[in-house]
Amino acid sequence: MLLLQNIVRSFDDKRVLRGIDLEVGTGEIVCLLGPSGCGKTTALRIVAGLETADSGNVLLDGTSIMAIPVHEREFGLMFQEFALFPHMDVARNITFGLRMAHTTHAAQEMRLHEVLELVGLQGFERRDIAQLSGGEKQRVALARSLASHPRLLMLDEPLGSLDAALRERLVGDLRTIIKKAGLTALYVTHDQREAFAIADRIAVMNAGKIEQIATPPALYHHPGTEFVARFLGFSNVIDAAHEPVLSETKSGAKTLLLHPDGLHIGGEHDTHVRSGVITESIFSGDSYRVTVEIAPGYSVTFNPRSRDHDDLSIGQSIWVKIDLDYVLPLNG
Amino acid sequence: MQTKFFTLTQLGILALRALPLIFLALFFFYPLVSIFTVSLAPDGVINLSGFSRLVTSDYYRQTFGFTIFQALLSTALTLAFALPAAFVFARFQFPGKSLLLSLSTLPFVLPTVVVAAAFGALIGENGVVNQLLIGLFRLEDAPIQLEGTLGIILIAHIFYNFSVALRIIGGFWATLDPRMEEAARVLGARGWQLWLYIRLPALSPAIFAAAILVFIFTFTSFGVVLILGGIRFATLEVEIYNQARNIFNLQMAAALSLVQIGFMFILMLVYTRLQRGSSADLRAARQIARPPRGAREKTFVGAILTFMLILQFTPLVALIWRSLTVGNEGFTTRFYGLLSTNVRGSVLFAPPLEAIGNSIAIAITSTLLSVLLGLITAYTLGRAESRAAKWLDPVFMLPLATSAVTLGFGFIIALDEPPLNLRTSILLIPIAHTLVAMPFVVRSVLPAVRSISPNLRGAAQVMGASPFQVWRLIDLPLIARGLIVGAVFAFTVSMGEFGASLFIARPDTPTIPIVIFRLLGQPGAANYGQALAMSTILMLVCGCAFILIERFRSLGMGEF
Repeated sequence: MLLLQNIVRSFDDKRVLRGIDLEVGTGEIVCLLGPSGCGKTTALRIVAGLETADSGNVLLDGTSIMAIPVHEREFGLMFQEFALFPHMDVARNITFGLRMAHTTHAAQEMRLHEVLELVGLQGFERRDIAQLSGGEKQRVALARSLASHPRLLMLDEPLGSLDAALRERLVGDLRTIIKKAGLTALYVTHDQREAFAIADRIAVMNAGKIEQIATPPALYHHPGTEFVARFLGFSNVIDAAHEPVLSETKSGAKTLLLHPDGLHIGGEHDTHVRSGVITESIFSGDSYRVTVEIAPGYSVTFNPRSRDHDDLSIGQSIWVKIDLDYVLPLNG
Repeated sequence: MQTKFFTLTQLGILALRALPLIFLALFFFYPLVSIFTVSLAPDGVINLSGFSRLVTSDYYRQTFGFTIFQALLSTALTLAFALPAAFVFARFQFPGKSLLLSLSTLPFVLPTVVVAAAFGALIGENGVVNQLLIGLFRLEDAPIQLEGTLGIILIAHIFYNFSVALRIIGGFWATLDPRMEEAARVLGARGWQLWLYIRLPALSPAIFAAAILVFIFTFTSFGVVLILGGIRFATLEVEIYNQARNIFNLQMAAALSLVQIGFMFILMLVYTRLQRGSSADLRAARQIARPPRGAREKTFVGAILTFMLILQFTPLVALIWRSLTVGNEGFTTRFYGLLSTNVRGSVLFAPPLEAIGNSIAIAITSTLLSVLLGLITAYTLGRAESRAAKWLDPVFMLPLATSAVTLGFGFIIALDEPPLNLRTSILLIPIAHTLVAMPFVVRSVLPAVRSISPNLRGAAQVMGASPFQVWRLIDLPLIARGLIVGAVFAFTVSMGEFGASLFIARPDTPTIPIVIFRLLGQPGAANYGQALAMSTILMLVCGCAFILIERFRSLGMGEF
């Protein structure tokens, strides 16, 4: 439905986007995930038409939309700080797009109540923007971007300005609402947990390039590059020189990820065990978080279940069992 | 099709943006260049006789010396009075505080001729105070003889600048962290040590900024000195006027103007440097004010507030009172009636009431012009991320740093001959007023333009608003307050403008301040009564404008 082809963009000699290719299917939620400055927001703004690309093409249903000005694209966009119009009440904010499209008054009213119900803010029509809480503002902004039945919904860090607890609560609602409205969505965030919760597929971006595109489970279980693995918080990225045997089984990869889900405490006679000394042990309820030094410069961190182990303390020697299915070769 | 439309729009925008620059080039820089030419090379060859006379003549040295002397003295006195008041406003909470604070800015919008007339009505030879004293003690002569003295000039200057200093210092003070003082106290500092080591050093950027601003205002004081100082006192401004208008020595006037411009330029430079360190936002202030406690604090606060009320309102009340009681007939509105007639043998060519019509027409034209140009300028400065905006900002403020007399003088030497002969144009005065008023519009609108997040415009665009719709539906409502404040400011500035108008107004189309000035210079109760009546009308007009401004201005001082 939406297709980005080799989008390139520079600001003052700085290459912000270095050839972005991405496809978003009808009804799909695709998330652009990456650290700040990776170009994800610029990519979104190019799709919206608020920014121009130096080269490349954006197609919607097979037709290029590069020459169509922003206000004729019929998209919806939700900003990080919501960008609600402070001089209009909730109703006028939400119906703004409908008014621009010269929708009849009756149709505006009907749609207003529809979307307010969808986001759970019935009765908020006449509220001033200044009176709303953070979560309410977020819902109004969402309702506003949905109201005109956009061909594509874009969300730029829509939960970024909310506190962590609220964010957790709203992220599930957000997916439900977008799916209920049957929208195709492009979602930008730097928070992997948010991306996991909301996306059908995630495109991880780094320095103006897409590193990997995958569904959330596939991304979690099989990060493809060192950047993606580290960005998702996996620390067991090791040089293959420490594990020539394992490297051999993975067609000689230079860098390996020992996925923490594939590391367990084992015994001397298990296959693929390494002996090591616990250098860090943190009890966190259902599990421990232990770091084991196997050789100088070769440590792994994983999370053994606490009910299986009474005592894991620093200095203790243990056997670490490696599950070969969770040894992943990394590129780059 | 699409691309062609966009380039046309862009061309239009470019042309619009150039308008204020063209305006400045024609009506500000061109007259300025003329002043340079006339002072340095009046006949086409370099001739520095004007400057050599400036340096060698005792008279000009004295004029220059007096200008600096009275400005320094006015500044010191203003600060001496404003500092305790700033303390009261920063640290104490009392009923009517915000009302009093906003009323204290009233002098800022009052025309100099009105202030001069008001102080004459209060403490002049036949002023209210003298009348009261004569009545009370059955005296023969007026006990207070301030007319034509330095004293009355200083008092008028304090009246004018008190609130400027109060706002700058008080606003900054309210933002200072009170824990700084508490820490010093815990470490053993007592009363005077707190002032010497903590408060004054912490306040010094604001005090310096206020001092320089007050110095600038009093250094270029024209109307007050001309009307209240009589013939004994002349500042540079007054001397430029004398040379150009009474002695017709244009070269000398131009030389003096050049000195004035140079001096102002340096002062403005210092001021903008300092302002960066002392721009305090009253809204950001943490609430540290509390009601005064104990007899000492209550007396102190009471005394300061009483002083403020007397300083700021007795002259205005005296003006209204005297406009109704001049002469021997007791209470009368005769002088207001006289305004519509052209008294035979009067110095005026038309009934004074006509001047009101002139002033209003001029003020409306100036307001429209300065709003249009100021709006464009605010957008150029507020939306351009380029280095050009940084460089342009001070350029657009330059007319503020140039005294009105210099502007007027520049106009008469530059714009009364080809290639640009506007001597007889009715637009000449509105153009001059626009130069003075435009910076106020820019300063009122610019913060609003800057505060509009680009995402607001982006959101509107994505939802289908065309560029013009974005401006009309998003920008315009959000800058409306600033725009109204700027427009009212422009209107008031134009209504009260005196220095430049005195140079360029034609005798048959005078403005209100000029009529007041001429009437004040004439003997007789009828002339004086009319002058006071006119001043009262002008004061009321500016008072109404002031109420409008305060109504629309969000808290704080704006960007001044």
